[in-house]
Amino acid sequence: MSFRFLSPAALRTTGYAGVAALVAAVAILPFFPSPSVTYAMGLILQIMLFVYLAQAWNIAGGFAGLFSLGHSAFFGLGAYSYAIGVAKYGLDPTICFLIGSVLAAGLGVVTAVISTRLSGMFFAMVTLGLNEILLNLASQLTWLTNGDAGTYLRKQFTVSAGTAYYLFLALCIAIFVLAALVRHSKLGTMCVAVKENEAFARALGVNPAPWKIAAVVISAIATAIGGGFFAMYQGIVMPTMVFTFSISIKMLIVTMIGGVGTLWGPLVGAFLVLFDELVRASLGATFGGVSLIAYGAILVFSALFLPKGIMEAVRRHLLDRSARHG
Amino acid sequence: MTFDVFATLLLSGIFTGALYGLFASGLTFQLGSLSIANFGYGSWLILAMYTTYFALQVWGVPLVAVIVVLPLAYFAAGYLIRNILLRQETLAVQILTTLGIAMIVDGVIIMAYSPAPRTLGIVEPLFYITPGIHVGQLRFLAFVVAAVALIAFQVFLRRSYLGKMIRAVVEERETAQLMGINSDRVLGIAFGLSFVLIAIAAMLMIHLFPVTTSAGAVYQLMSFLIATIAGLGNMRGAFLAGIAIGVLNAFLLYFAASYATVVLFTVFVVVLVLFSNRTAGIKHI
Repeated sequence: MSFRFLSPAALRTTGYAGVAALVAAVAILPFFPSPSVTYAMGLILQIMLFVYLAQAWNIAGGFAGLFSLGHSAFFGLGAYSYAIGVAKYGLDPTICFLIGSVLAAGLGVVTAVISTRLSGMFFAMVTLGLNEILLNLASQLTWLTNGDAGTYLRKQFTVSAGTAYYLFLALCIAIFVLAALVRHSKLGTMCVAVKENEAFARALGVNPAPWKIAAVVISAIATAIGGGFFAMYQGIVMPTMVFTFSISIKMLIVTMIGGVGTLWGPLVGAFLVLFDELVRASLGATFGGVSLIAYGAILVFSALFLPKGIMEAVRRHLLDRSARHG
Repeated sequence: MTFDVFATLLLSGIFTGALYGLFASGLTFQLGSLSIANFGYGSWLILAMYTTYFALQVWGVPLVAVIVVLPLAYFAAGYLIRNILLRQETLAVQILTTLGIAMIVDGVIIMAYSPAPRTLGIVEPLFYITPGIHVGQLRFLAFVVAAVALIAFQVFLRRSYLGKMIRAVVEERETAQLMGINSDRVLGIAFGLSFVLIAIAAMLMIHLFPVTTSAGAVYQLMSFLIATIAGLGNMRGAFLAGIAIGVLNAFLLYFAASYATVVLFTVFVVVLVLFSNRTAGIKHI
């Protein structure tokens, strides 16, 4: 691959320059209005949503190793808090985001406490179950959520696609800054220590519970805020739209293809969303199954050949180089 | 609620529950004994249901041929998947791989069979025990087949040479390898056998329930639920847990249909959290 010809420092500089250029390009794109730019903006908005969510997942799932399959529960809590708050009770949007964050944090604490009892597969299944409970509650508590018909938002509570575009760009930048802060703080170090070897971390006197709780709560609140903004730009919230396995799984897959527990993994993995949207747009109407097959094949191949993600391969190269050249 | 209603619900719950136990048993075995988290389980189940439907209704294949060919094909699929794609054992890789396979299977279903819901449309003949208490005959048949299949599988694991090899590899892989057992081949066969269970369950289920492309996710979650309550890897437990869930579900549907799923999954989470030390990490076989 091309990065083999670069020294680690050069690669790092190139990487940062690339990210800066990417952000700049995304930011100035709307100033050149044309039909294809409008199309591209829709695509980029979708990608930014999942980059944001994937990074939010990565804080708990990657750094702390809490393999959640039910992050859509936090997403849905945020989306519903905003939608029900403004549409039904006429609350101030800030209050709604606050309520969503508090609810998500509460569920996050519950999830994190469960994670101290269960690990791996079992924890993943509990999160799956919690999301399923919320999905069914959302569709059954019709007095609150209006059931499967969904909660609609009046125009003054929604944002245009153009505003949402910059909103999610800002959210993406914010979540990467947050993730970097977490990763390089004591919290991040403790989380990684507990993830890599919990027994050893305990033996050194680390109590894993508070660190796990902190990581999950941060991740849950970030996901809920994403859900709130998602509701704001969609203008409607339905149970199967937010509390869906496909959102949880996309957060996880984007992170995993990029590299679980790496800071830039969620950004690198986003090409998958792009690929998915493009294939679906070009083939979806005629061959429904082909896009699924292509998507599935990419997952299988990346699991076979890049089991730890793209960023891990890059990192290994950096380590190799620095080991060889001192 | 009269006694007749109670008895009918109970029997229907037991007989449907046995089928739940059967369709969850493959997952129980994969997850508990082989330590493979198969997130494509539901997709494979509905693929077999669609295939049985098309074989019987569209291609005019006799039922006997389906009963012979489908489990064999599924065995081969399971063997190949385990030994080509699922050799790595980290949870993340398993989830990614099995999800990818599930998407491919879903894609194949949509392309080959179209996503339209399919049903054999059998009006189940009823079997009256007393004038007020009745059971569906197909449900009864399903109960019998499920019981026979699971007992046979259990006996196979306990008594046959191959079954003993599987148990040896599951319990102590390194020692088994030192004794000259080719663990990859044995695990491949074991995974293939769990796919045979999927095929058997699906052939019964298409006779009782309609199949849709979204049904896979539901069956997947139900299987996880039953496998967890059973104690992972415990096949007899899966059968009993299936019956318990079937009965619970039958009564919930009668009294509080809209909250049935909420109650079921609350039970799931509570059982998983409270009895984790009993289920986690123990390899029943």
